[in-house]
Amino acid sequence: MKRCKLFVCEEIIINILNRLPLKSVAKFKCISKNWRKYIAEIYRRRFQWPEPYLLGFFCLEKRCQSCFFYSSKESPLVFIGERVYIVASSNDSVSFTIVRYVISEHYQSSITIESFSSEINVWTDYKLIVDVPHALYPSLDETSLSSAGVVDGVFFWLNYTLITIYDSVNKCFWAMELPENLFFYYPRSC
Amino acid sequence: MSSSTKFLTLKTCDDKKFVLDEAIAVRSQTIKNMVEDDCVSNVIPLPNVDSKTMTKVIEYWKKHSEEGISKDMLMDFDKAFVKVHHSILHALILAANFLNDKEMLDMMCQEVVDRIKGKTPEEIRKEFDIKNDFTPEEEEEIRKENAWAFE
Repeated sequence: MKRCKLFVCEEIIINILNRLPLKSVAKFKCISKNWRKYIAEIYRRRFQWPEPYLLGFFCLEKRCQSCFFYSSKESPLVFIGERVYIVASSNDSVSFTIVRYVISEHYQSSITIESFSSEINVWTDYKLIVDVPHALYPSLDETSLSSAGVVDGVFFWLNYTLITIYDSVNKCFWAMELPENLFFYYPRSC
Repeated sequence: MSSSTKFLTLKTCDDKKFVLDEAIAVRSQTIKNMVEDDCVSNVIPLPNVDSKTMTKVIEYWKKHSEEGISKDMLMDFDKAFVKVHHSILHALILAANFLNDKEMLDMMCQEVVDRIKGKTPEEIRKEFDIKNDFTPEEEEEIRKENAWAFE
């Protein structure tokens, strides 16, 4: 019996290679052109949704209502709540934090900042009484634009002519004015 | 055994015949489909399987159909079952694939994985008689890209 007969059937080779640890798969890429092709298929299969090890959060948005979900190793898809205005999320390889803010109905000078940590799996809120910067009122028009980002737990977002900054570690925030005549056109951030 | 037991005759590519309880033979999805579609006359031909391989397959099917057999006993059986020369292992994989017995196929494929995962690309080429069709430059390039895997 010819030794290589087994490796004539592509389906079987992929079945076998798909069980190998990634390190072996990468190592075997240089065996032959066919093997490189099979391994490209393995990569495609392993990294496609739904894989059980995907971690991240998702947001469905309609007008100003947003629904948030996250996925993790333990639970494929978990609903975490619906509210307005997600600011941004920070993310390292195992956990992430999402910050959102809720403005009271009458636009008073109090704001609730909430952050969600994937580690403890709950939203934690911090009610802040502040001299609310104008920029905390995002436009209620669904076509309005906003942009946000996060660096080391400090969240910032842009509204009109101000950048609002929230430090999720020290639980404080402030606003920063943009230089005059700067006009920003950013896509929606979420 | 009840009187309703039906037997099927399987004929391998080297013209050997095997008479087998239908309840056991339908572990093969291929045979099961043939039985369900009523296209089984007297003898089921298995053009891709030789008698030596079929004997092993039937040994596996019978063991896995035994009543009251414990999980531990089956595990021991499986462990011993896959410890065969690689030419037999490969023939069994091709047979399991043709007969469409996923459980058996998965077990055999896993055995191949265990045998190859620690090997170098050179050893794999030699073991499976694969021709390296990369130029030395191309191979070097791929090795460089995946240098972490060779550490």
